[in-house]
Amino acid sequence: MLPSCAVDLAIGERAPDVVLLGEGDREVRLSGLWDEGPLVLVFLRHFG
Amino acid sequence: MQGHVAEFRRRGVRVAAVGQATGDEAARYGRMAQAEFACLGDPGRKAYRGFGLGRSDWWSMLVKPFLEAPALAWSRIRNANLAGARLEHSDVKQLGGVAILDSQGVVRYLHRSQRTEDYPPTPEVLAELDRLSL
Repeated sequence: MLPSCAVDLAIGERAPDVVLLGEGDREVRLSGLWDEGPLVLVFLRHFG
Repeated sequence: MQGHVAEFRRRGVRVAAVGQATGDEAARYGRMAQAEFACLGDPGRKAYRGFGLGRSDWWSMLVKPFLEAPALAWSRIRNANLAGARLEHSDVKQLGGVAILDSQGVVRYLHRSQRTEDYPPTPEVLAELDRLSL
């Protein structure tokens, strides 16, 4: 059984400009990260 | 990625980890792990869904590993740190992945985990960065 995927984002497409949370729930927009240069995002199953 | 961050920095690339957590939980993990990269929270899993990261199922998580490699499965159970999985926002079935974005936000590499332990080796990600010459 293949994992269910909600969206079919493809290589070559623009990443969704989602808002992530830093300390104190400070909003960090993804575009603010890639604006600073190439970015590697590692999506963990969970922290720890 | 931990331990290889200097290699990413040498290539002018920033690394950020995203987890199913609040911002404070993510920051706490970063401090505990002495992470050399940003740790950010995505409690609603909007980023996970936006990147098309899927969810596993109980069979793949709990049964299949014991059928395929029982000793390894038992070892993983014994060594598992489930603290993060117990966070309020954590979906234990949520799978992870790795993405490389260029400075325009274009996805240049995307690995969607097919099972819980499925992550590309760091050297593979570094090699891909070298190939892409971002």
